[in-house]
Parts: sequence; structure tokens; C-alpha cells
Amino acid sequence: MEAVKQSEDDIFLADDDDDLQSQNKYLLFNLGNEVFGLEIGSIIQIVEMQKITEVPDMPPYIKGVINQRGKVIPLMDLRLRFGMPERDYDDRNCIIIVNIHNSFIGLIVDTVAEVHDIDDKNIDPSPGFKSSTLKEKYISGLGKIGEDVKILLDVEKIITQDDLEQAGAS
Amino acid sequence: MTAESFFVTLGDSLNSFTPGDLVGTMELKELVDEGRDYYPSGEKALFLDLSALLHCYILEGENDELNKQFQSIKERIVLIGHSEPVADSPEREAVKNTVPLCPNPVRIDDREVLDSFLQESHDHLDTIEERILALETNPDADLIDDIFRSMHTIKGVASFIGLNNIKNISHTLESLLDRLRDNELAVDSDLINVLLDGTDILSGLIGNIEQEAEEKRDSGNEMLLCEPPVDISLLVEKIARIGNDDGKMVPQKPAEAPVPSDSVDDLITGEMIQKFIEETSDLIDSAEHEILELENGSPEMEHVDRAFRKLHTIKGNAGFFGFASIEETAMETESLLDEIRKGIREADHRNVSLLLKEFDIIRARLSSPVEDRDGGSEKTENYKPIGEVLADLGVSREDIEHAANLQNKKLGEILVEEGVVSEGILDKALQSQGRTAGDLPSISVKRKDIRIDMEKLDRLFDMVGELITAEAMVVDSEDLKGLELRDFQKSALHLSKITREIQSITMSMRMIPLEGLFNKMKRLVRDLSRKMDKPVQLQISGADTEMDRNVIEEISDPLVHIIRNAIDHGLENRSERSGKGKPPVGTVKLNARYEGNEIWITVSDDGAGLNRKGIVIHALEKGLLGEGAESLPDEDIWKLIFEPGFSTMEKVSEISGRGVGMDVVKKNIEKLRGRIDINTEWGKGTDMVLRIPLTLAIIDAISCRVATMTLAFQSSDVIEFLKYSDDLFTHTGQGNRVINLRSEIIPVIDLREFYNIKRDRQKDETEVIVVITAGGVKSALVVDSILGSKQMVVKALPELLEETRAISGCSVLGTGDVCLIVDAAALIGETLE
Repeated sequence: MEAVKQSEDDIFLADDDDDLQSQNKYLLFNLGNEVFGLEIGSIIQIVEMQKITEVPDMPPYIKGVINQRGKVIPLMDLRLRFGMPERDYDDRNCIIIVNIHNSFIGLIVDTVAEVHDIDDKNIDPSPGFKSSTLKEKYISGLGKIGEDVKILLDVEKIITQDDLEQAGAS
Repeated sequence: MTAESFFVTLGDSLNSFTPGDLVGTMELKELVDEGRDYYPSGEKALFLDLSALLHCYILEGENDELNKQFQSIKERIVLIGHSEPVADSPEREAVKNTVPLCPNPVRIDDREVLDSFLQESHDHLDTIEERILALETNPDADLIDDIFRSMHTIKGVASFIGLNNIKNISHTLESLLDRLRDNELAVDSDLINVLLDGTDILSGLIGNIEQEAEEKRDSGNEMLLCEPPVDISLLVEKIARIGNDDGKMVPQKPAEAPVPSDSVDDLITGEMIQKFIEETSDLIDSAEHEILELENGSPEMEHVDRAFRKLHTIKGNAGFFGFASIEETAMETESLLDEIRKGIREADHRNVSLLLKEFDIIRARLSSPVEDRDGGSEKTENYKPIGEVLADLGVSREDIEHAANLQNKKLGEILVEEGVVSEGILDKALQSQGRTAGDLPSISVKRKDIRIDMEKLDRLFDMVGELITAEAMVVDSEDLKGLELRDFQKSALHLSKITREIQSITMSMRMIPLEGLFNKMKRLVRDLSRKMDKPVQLQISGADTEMDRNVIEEISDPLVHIIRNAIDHGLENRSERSGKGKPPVGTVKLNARYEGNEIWITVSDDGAGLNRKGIVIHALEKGLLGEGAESLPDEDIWKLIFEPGFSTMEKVSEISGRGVGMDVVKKNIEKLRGRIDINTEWGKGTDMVLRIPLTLAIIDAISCRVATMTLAFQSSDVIEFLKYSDDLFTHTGQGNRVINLRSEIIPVIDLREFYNIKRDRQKDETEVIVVITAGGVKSALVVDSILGSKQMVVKALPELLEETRAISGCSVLGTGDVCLIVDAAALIGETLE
């Protein structure tokens, strides 16, 4: 928790971790009552919520763009992406900026919790229910920390998958 | 040698050939290449394959893959030798058109070599074409020499890389040029045509290879290229015809073709030598690097191979320029490397030091190349044949001849090798030797330019854009509002001055003169003029005007279309011209100049001019104009020619007139945020002015707010602002509205509706109407408020957002907010018919 609290502005994760260290490290964050995890390798930066410039013609979960050090970065609201109810933003919201194939995307989450080690042996594959919800499609595994289960996400799928389906449906 | 004896010899050589025998390989390759006239035309690819394969042997040594290929080619060739009498085969061209998927794969070991070859070849071909055209009007010996040299370079490098088609064609053309140089031929239009055709084929081939290389870019540094098959028989035939006409042609124009001098000094300019020096020092540096790698405990043969190839290039170049001792040393080093490669010598410290010494010797020689060349001047008389043969780099008998001459080593080299003298002493000795020859014209070895990766340049460009934004964020910071900051203001002003300067320098780095583009047009005009039998003279001015490289690429097509139109439709034919009392030769002028923040490229012709009546009638027929067309101002009428599907010509000519040209012109120019002005006078001619902004990266823009979006319009698209008032609007049904602006009816585009934004509040007083124009169509937009007007650095939209309608890019405002730049033409195009 402290790690995040002290970084009201930015914390750089990718810069001071080399590949070895970043393996098995997950950034945990909350959406509603659930805790999710993202492998920190693809995370560039975590920034506080800021003024968003809306972009037209986008699916509802693309909220717009922000300017981060001269780079224009699109934002995706993970709540909406996972079909969860929308909630007004407050100052606890955070933007996790990830780098997917050299394009940067900001993911809006409710709150950021902490960075935690989860060993491979403590990660179970997604159970693969037949009636999978949107959210379940993006799961890369289920991580166990003690008694808790964290939902580990596959960033690449979140950004690339189903975009066509979504656009067609809406 | 006859075809028959060629096949017998070839068969024997193939049978006795042992892979791995370097000299044998070279001899065989030479044989194969020399027999090119005897290849059965349907099987040409096979022989070229063989030649390429042998080349691979020379470069790479023996390996299983090559051996396998060799076997299969050998079997097929033996088959041909038996089944077909080949004597009459050259006539059976184009009978067999069986092109295998990849007839002759070329192995590329080093992307950089290929890339620089492609780049250079483009440059060379451009020069060649320009010179060929100049040759037509001015058959000057220097020009022929220039063309010859460029062609020669292409041939040499293509052969080095193993691109045999390119090598063969350039060789054919080179031989033709050589005969021209020797005065065996005279310059006439047939000859020019053949040269141009050949150049076209070369550009085509190089373009293909470039494309393929681009596709395979991901496959790393090494790759297999499929050289596209090409039929050059037609070209060869044309050349042969020219050759046959010898007897007739030469006496006709005896005085005009000057006798070129054949001495080396006439051929080689200081500039070329300087280039050679630069290139050679680069090559030596990288060869040295490879050899040092070898010592660093990576005893892989690929290092030796690479070094070998580099030395090979040096040897070839040095030979061409007549730097005898450099050539010899390179030759020596090359053999040393070959021995290491074959395992005759160990790659141990002793041999590495030996190699390094050799490199130093070459370096030392480079510092006084002129003297070196003079030293080799006894070769001058032999120059041409040597150059000729050397051009077939890696193919040549040179290696063997020189191998025999190895005993003629320079004293210094032997001393160094024997360990009697250190190379440091030798260097000094050589340098002082060079100094004594100080009365020779000295050539500066200083570098004037360096090559920079475009990507780095683009990155720098982005960073400068960010710098300017950041500067605005600091200087206009909210925190500073209302403070008395005299010192700060002064410093801010200073900072701003510096950033502007950095910006303009960065921009200028991407600027290149329009010369290249304009020279391409020379060729176009010439071809068109012949095809349509309208004599045309092209006058070019302002070719030194510089423009952003990316922009130049974009305006090439529009310019071609406009010039085509000018000659095809604009200029009258001979009889019409004489009827009007105009000079028989039509004039097309191409001019470029700076005009404020724009570059104006003007294409003027002295042809018939645009026919207002004709255009109006035609537009009415096509339904492009409605009632009241007669009263429209001229400009509006002229603009009709840019409409899709508009063409006033009755019949479709081969060159233009399909009605697709001009709307493409308009689209391309608008993409560049430029516009086209037309001035025309019936009977006197037409001027088309392409007005292109200096750069795509920075625009003057007006930003405004619509709901939660910040949008920006290019200032030049905006005509005026109106205060919002319900009275202005007239509803035309289906929710569409128009406004009446000084008795002009303008359609309204509601941006909220356009972008499907929910109306979250009532219209209020702050709403503003912005009247914009694009492509001659006006439109009124309703926005919430105007934020301001400033220069913006345009950025591309992030990948995820590229599909957004009518948005061409984005920019970061001084406040740090992002604004979206509206593409006015697209907005109007999407909304209105």
C-alpha cells in the first residue's frame, strides 16, 4: 500500500525493474469488489486521474485521450470494458499506462492496491466456463495469495480482442 | 568461342568442378558469364542461377545447401546441352515462359549493404536519366562519361551483391555507352530511347527488390531475395539494331560527337575519389571490427567471411580508381583471409595482428591516394579493359592475374610482414612519401555530411514538438497569472527564441530540393511530347527550392497528372498552333518558389486554355451543375475539372483523359493541406498553382470546444465566426438547417449530431457559428465556444483511435489538454453530397 500512496504522481515500474525482477510481480488493483492483477512487465507508469479529452466515434469504454509528457494516450475504462456498471470518477481512480506492441494505452481502474509476487506454482489456469462473461475472456490465470484469489489479466487480449464484436454489437 | 564449344567446355568444367576451390569457382563463373550470348533464351534463368550460385560459392565457401543446388542445376544444364542444338536458339525468344517461383534466389548477408545499394542506385538512376535527356540536346563527352560511371557503379555493386539481372542489364547498357564513348556510335533519338528503356527496366528491377526487401525486413540481417525474372531480349535486340546501323549513323553526324579522352584523370573527379576514400575507411573500420571479434574468442567463420567481402569491395573500387597499391594490399589481405577461411591458416593472434597491419597499411595509403594513383599510372593506358573487367567484381580474372603478381609487393609491406619494420615506422615513411608529392592537387578527406536514420530524425522532430509544447506549458502556466515577473519574461523570451531556432533547424534537416522531382518531369515531358507528336520545351526554374521530404513524395503524382493534362489537353497540336500564329514548339514552365508560409509550384502552358463554355456544357450534362450555372464566377467553373468523373475530352487518350487524374490531384493536395489555384486565358494558356504548406508538422489552428471535446480547425479553412442566434437558421426538413449569410445559403453541420454526442444542456448564448470552407464548399458549424488561435504541432492519432471520422490528427495545447484536429474536407465530404 505505501508503495502506491507515496506516488501520487507517477511511479516508474518498468524503468527500475529488469526482466528477471519483473517476472512474477503483479500490480494489483480494484474494480468494484474484486481484485485484479496485471503483470508489471508491460506497465509503463501509473498516473492519477486527469482531465480527459473525449474522442468521438469510439466504443463507450474508450473514454478519450490524455496528454502524458507530450504523448497522446487513449484511455480505456476497464469497468465498462468488462461490462461492469459505470461509476463517476473521483481522486481515487488511477490510470495504469501499459505498452502493447509499442503503442501506449491507459487503463482506468478504481484504485491501485500494491505490487505483489505471485509464483507460477500459485497460479491456476482460468477454469474456462462455457458461459464466459466478457471479463473472463481476458483472464490469463487465477493467482493465489494466501487465502485470497486474484484475477490475473492478459493485457493484450483486453486491448485487441473482441473489438470488432463489440463494435458490431453496439 | 562458339555456342557449341561453350557448351562442351561448360559441361567439362561442371563435371570437374570441386566446390570449395576458389580459383576454380571463379574460372567457372567467368566462363558461365562469358557465355551469356549462348544461353538458350528459354533457359536463361537457369544459367543466371548458376552464375549466382557460383557467386555464393565465392562469397561463402562451400556448404551443403549450395552443393545441393549446384547438383540440380548441373543436371538440368547437362540435359539442355544434349537435347538442344543451341546455335539458332537466340531467335526463339519468349517461347518458354516458365518462370519458376523463385528462379534465382540471391542470398543477402548484410542488409545494410543491400539498403545502401538500393538507395544509391536510385540516386544513380536519377542522375543517369537526367544526363541521358541532356545528352539528347547536347551530345557531350563528359555527359557520356558521367552516365557510364553511374552505370558502372550500379553494375559493380549489383554484381557484388549477386543481383545478376541488374548486373547483366547494366552491363549491356554500359557496353553500349562504351561504344558511344569510343565514337563507334552517334547520339540519336533511337539510342536515347534504348538507354531510357534500359534505365526504366533497371528502376523497375530495383523497385521490385526494394519492395521484397521491405517485406522481408523482419527476417533479420540475412535473407534470401528472389530477384524478379526479366526479359531483356527486346532491349538487347534494340541495342543490336543500333549496332548494325553503325555504318550509316556515324558518318551522318561525324562532327557533333566529340572524341572523348580516355585517360583516367578525365574519368575520375575529385568528388569520386573523396567518396572512395570515405567508403574505404568505413569498410576498413568494419573489417577491422570483424577481425577483432575473431580474436575476442568468437572464432566463427562468418566474421572472416564478412571481412573478406569488405576487402573484396575495397579491392574492386581501388582497381577501378587505379589505386594500384591499395588494390594490391587489399588483394593480399583478401588471400590471407581466404586462407583462414579455408583453415590453411589459424585464426590466431599472429595472423590477426598480420591482418590488422594490413588494414593500417591500407589506411595509410588512403591518406595519400593521389600519390598512390600516380604511382600506378603506368596502368593508365590499360585502364579501360581493367575497369571493364573489374566491374564484374568477383567474376573477374583479375584475382588470378593479380595472384600471379603477388611477388610485386611493396617493399614496406614485405618489411612489415617479416617483422623487420613496425607498421608505425612504415606509416611515417609512407606519410612523408606522401608529403613529398605535395605539389599534386590535394584532396580533402574531411567529411561534409553524415547519413542519419530517418527514424532518428523523426524522433528528433517529435521531441522538438514536445519541447515547444512544454515551453508553452511553463510560460503560460496558470500559476504565473497576475504576477509581476520581469526577469522571468526576459528569460522566457530568450528560451522561446532558442526553441524556435532549434525547430527551424530540425525542419530544415528534412528538407530536400525539388530538383530531383523536377528532373523526373523532364523525362515525362519528353515521352509525352513524342507520344503525342507535340513538340514541347520544358522550362524549369526554382528547382533549388527546398521542401519537406515527405511532402515531395506526395506531390509527385499530382504534378505528373497536371503536366500530362497540360500537354495532352492544354497544348494544341502542330497545325492548330500554326493556325493561331503560335510558335510550333509548345512551352511548359515548371516553377517553384516560397510564398509566405507556402511553397507555390506553378505549371504553366501556352496552350489553348480552359474553355468555359465547354466545361459548363459538360458539367450540366454530367449533372455537376444545376440552374444558374452561367452566372457562376470563373473560379468556380475551373474547379469543376477536379470533380471525379469530369473529363472534357471526347475520346480517351492513352495518356490522360480517363477523368480520374484531376480529382486525384485535388485529393492529394488537400491531404497536404494545400490548395490549387487556376489562372487561365482562353487561347493563351493555363497556369496551375499548387500551394503547399512548407511543412505538414505545424499548422496555424483555431481551437474550440464542443461538449467535452476540444477540436481545432486549420486557420486557413475558417472564413468567419458568427454569434449564435436562432433567427439565422432555416429548417429544411429532416432536422437539416441552413443559414443565409449575405444572401449565400450555407448548410449547417451540427458537430454534436455528427459525432453522436448527447445534448446535455440547452443551447445558450455562448454558442458560436464557425463558417469553414474546403474544396470550394462552405459549411457552418455550431460549436460551444472558441478557445483561441495558435500554432500547433500536429501529431498522429494513437493507433486505437485512427478510425475516428473527419479527424486528421491531434495536438497538445499549452494547457496540456489534447485537441483533435478536424479535417474540414472530410467533414464536409461526409455530411454533404
